[in-house]
Amino acid sequence: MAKPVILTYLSRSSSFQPIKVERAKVYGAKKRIALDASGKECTKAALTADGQHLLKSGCTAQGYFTASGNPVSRSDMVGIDAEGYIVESKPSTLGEPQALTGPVDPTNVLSLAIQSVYYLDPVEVDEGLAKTLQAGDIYQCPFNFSAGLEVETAYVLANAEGYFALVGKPMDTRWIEQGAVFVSTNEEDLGEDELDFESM
Amino acid sequence: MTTLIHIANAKGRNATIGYSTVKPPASPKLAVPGQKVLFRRYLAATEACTHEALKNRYGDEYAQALIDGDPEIDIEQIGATIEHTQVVYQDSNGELMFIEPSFIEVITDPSGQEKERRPSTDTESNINEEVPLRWSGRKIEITEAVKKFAFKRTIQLQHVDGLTYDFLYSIAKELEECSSMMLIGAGDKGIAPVIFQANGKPYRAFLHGQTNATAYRLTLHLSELELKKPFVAKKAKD
Repeated sequence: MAKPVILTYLSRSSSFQPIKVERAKVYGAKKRIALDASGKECTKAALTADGQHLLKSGCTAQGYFTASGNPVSRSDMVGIDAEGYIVESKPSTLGEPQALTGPVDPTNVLSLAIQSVYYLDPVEVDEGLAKTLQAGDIYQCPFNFSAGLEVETAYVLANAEGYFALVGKPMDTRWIEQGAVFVSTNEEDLGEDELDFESM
Repeated sequence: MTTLIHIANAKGRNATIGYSTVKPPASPKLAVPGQKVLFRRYLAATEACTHEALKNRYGDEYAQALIDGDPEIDIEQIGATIEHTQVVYQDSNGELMFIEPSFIEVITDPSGQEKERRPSTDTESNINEEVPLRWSGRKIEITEAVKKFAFKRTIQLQHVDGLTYDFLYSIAKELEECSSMMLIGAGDKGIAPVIFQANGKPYRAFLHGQTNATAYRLTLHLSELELKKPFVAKKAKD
């Protein structure tokens, strides 16, 4: 079991057990299976471009290498930001009290590139925090489920289902003036698996 | 992949406009200071050395055979960089298939139990078709929307000429004035999910608009997940 999420509101702590919210755990899942001519399940594999190797599960591995082809151990690597500065590893925030700030404007939540959603199963919740969240207020705090090179942002809110933390990185949209020129680019894949909230 | 989207406004007037995905700033990367480091996929075992192949050759307990035989690593092949590959299928006898397999979908419930098996169907993209994405007429306050849905992707809409500038600016203004988001979608009523690419993930799409003098921000927030308590498996009692 993960360490609890500890949130501090007006100097009072509340504790929650984080449970990741995923589509499969809310609506179920859909898996696409290939069948051969006799109706039996096929195995997916990959063929290298030169046709020399049929790659089945377990045939490949991945890692970091120098330009000369020598492997680089993960322990020899450090985080480097876009400006080339070394970034220290940031510890997990679980089990450590995190001060809530806010309430924030709900529009801020729309500017979060959500990476993960957690259902916060209440262990011990301060009455004041419960009241303000249930009244519709949204709060912000630092959040790292595990150690990483940056600290993510969580928006904590409540609805009829319970308490939730939306975790990710803030992003900016730009103002578009009349004279702006649209340049079509190749958009990245927007994902390709199953669907809908229930059965859409 | 297209970066054009065909949408209609509240009055049913339609236009084809541009879009781009909104992304957060780049995250720090793992590297070695002063040295170029490459991340690559490589061949770790040939087909003859997979678990299945070794089991077939030496039986379930093949570890001893490997110790006794002490085979050398094939340095001509192992470690080779794997770049471009093509997906292939092997039939139930392990033979490479030269015709496309048929596909079925296996549906499971939140507990992981299989509910249904059905033929797989292909879905088409519907964002830039003859019929535009329409306003559903379902407005939702921003406060309510962010507490109900997880918006995991955002795209920003942009005009492609003077006429579409007016079109988008007026949509942004209209949404800003009511402090709400508008559900848009495919189909006559604008409530069918939005699909950006063939066999892609269907999303519920909510339009949000802001203006600042002559500039506008019109974003489409995409969700495939409601904020609901997830299924949690109960632990077996001792």
